[in-house]
Amino acid sequence: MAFATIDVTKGITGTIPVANGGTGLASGTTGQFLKFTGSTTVASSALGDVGKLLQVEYFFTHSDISTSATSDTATIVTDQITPSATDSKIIVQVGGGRGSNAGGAAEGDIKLYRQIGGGGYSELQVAMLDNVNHATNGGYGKPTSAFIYVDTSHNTTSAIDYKIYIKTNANTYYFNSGGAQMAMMLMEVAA
Amino acid sequence: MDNQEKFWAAIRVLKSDVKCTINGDIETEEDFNNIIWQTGTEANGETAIVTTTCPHSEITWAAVKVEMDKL
Repeated sequence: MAFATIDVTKGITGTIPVANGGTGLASGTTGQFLKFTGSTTVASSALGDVGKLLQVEYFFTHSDISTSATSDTATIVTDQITPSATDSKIIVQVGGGRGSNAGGAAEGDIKLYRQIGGGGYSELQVAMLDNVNHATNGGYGKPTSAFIYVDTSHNTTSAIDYKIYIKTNANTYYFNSGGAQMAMMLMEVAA
Repeated sequence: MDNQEKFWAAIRVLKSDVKCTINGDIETEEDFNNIIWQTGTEANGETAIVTTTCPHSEITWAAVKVEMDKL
């Protein structure tokens, strides 16, 4: 005997399991999605803000920035962000610029420093090493490279300042020159 | 020769081995007073001890400007 249609409201009790093409669920939660919680089980799940870009801060300058200091000194390349959660990821991106030197060859150390809640800056990461090996004054080297750092250790919802510090191994190192743009971008991503 | 190149050339004339960092052009005494001069290194061995008061008696805004104006 062939059936043209099956009325699922009749003759079936309980829920249809995943293994038989169902969900195994009697009900779900408004606004949520279905997610496998096992190979044959499905549950209602909130997608939440995971991976969502929450905020962006941006700074740029066209000023020349140079140093003859042989220990880390602060530049004007800095920006501030206040995370909305302690476990958010803060992506720090620094890029652009034009490296150069004066007085002889120079290698610049470029470091990312961090300050939480105005508590003072400390080194977070060596960002870039920019070697401008020109023996003459003002010999322009390669452009300062892009740098990305993902901060997962801030553990705060207080304001965080990120700042670039520079030093040279000898002579004068230019972190930026010739009116090039040097930029810093901070992005908070939900954990 | 741009502004910062003139500044560094002037500094080298006035005194060798001066350690400082400049953010932007040095066109006025106010700019000069914002220069970050390294006077030492912190105990961590990395971060400079700095001041915005020039620690070198040979280097004043007037002297730097004279040398920069020659270039």
